[in-house]
Amino acid sequence: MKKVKLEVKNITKRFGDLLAVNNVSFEVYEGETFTLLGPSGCGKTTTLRIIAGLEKPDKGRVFIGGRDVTDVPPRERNVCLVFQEYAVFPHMTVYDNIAFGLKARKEPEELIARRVREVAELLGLTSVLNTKASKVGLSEKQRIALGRCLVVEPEILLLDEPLTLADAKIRETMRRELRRLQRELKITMIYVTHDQLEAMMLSDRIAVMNAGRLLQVGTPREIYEKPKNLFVAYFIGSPTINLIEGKLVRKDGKLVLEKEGLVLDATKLLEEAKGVGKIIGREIVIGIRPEDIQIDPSGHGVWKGEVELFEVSGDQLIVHIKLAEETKIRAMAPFSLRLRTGDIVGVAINPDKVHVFDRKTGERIDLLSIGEA
Amino acid sequence: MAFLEIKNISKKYRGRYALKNINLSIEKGEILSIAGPPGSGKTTLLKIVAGLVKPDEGSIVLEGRDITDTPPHLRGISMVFEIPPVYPDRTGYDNIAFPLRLKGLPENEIKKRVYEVAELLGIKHILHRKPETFSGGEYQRVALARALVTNPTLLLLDEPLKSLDAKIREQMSIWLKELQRKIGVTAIYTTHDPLEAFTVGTRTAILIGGEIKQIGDPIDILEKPSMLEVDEYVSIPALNIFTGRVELEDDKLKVIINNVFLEKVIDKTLRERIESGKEYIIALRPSDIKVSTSPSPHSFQGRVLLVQYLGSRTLASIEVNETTIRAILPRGLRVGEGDIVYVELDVDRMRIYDPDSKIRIA
Repeated sequence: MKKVKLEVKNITKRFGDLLAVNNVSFEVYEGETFTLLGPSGCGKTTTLRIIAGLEKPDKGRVFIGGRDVTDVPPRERNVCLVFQEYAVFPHMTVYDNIAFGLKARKEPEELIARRVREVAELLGLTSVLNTKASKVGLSEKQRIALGRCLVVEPEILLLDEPLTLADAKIRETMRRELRRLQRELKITMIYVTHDQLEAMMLSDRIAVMNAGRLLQVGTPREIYEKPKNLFVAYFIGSPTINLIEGKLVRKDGKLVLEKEGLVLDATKLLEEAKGVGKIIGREIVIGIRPEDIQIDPSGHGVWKGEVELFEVSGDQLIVHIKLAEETKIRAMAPFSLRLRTGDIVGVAINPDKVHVFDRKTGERIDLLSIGEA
Repeated sequence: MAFLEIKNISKKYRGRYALKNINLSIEKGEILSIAGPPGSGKTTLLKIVAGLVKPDEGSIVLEGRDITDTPPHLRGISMVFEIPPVYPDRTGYDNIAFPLRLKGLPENEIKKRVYEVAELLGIKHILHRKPETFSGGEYQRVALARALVTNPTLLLLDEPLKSLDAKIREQMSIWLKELQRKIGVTAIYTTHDPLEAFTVGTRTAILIGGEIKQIGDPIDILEKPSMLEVDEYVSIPALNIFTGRVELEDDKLKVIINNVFLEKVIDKTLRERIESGKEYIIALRPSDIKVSTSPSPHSFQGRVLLVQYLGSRTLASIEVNETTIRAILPRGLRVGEGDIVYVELDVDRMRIYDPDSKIRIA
């Protein structure tokens, strides 16, 4: 049975005309990493600051370990917010930086020494404890910032985009280290980021936010494989999911997507799906992730198109394929598939990997559940 | 003759090389990406091209004309910085029109050119709005529009997407590439992210520690890194690096890493470059490691330490003989932390580096 560590209940926060957080509710379990993910201005940082007690919500309550802390000042909440590495005091030693919170609480010297050493050991900072913080690297500074919080043993660790300043390489290492550490300590962690990849790498569960609203909470797999709406589908995943919109109609025995005179045959994608009858005549959006599309250089498949552009993604190519004037899709391909701009290729798509959304509401349409209903 | 030539450029700060003997040429209509970690000299190089910093040695030649001593405003070059100064109290229109007004162009000509460039960049809808209402991507495009509106012969873009959200950065980098195809702008583009460099650039130069380590197209650089430093820099997720003893036997190359043997058939040229019995650095990307739940003749047994589900792929850290190997799991394979798995190194994808010079041998 999972124990609820934090409960956020119907939180609303306004800044002047701006509704920063709009009736947001979620629970965070003990020992998990829970990430608030969304674009700039979605309300994720405000939500975190409300949990920390640095902002007061206009409406709603915050519970930590079952206790209503909505009116409790930050330092009495037993949470710790990890500041970015630039908040490390450069003139102090690494030891004094980490010991800072305990000294402020006037803990006995031997307890401080023991705790600091334990945390330093855990973070791999033992060898630099007596070094000035200004002399250590970015990755160490990041760990010092983290160590300062760990040493006071908070019930919940809060992190607000701690890795945005680091470059790609350090970020990757830090994500792995942070994940490993959190697992080892079984600490409850709430993480804020705009970077979906970072959220996927670090989290047990993710809450996707946009424009002040909470859109979906789930494990990385649930969110990726069953996005509840168009925004989540679009925001999660890189390269971005392909979205093709149109009105689904039956024409000459075929299922086609129609949009402004353009017609795209969707028979092979949708005819087998249960419940498809109920969405005929509706404006829908079809979503297909680039890695769920296979390119066939000989031109066979569900659709045919012209290779327009390439991107490189580490060990694969992202190929832009023009199906019609305003309809382009992106698909992944190995380097060994020697494609050239202008090539006509076919694309194969597994119908099980096709997502369908209502165009007006943006909500996911689960064809199976419609069929069963 | 290339459109722009950067010849033997060196620059020292306090006795240390910020840039060392840089040679690059840019053809008309191409975007040359310069990728390198923070502090590698990217901005200094762009500033030298723009005329904002004087090199200690070397010259800049634009369309056959030596401009090393030409002041910045006479070079016909526009530069867009990471966080470009957009005037907050002026509309999008006035921001873009600004450099044309400085030149004293007639107002109807200014209007025509502002609308043309706004149309091209897809920002007509924000021309009459103030910057505070712009999204990150719109803000960056206004800055770019202001640079493009003067029709510069060369555009210098210094990490223009760095401060944007990850999602917008992905869109903007594709959009820049499409723009380049449309209008054939000639540009130098810097970024700390090698994949972004590969997407935006026609070619990419890798700049590490003030030196150009490799220039080429993305696949070349990814598949044939010139040296270990380049391989490490462009490998995302991070490269696996081992030390292995190498032995030659007839036409076979044997590699021994810890107590695991790998072998492959190699050609004569490679045989001559490898010293039998010597230790080399062996590098493999996470995608070059095969993971399975059953053993095979050349597999190592390992224990899964960490599984990171990333949607299109799943990354695992696996402990094998006290070393941690990072691997991409095959789609559909579900393993959990603590599980025993079998790891096989793809011998054909393995890269061998000289342990001293760190230069790639195979």
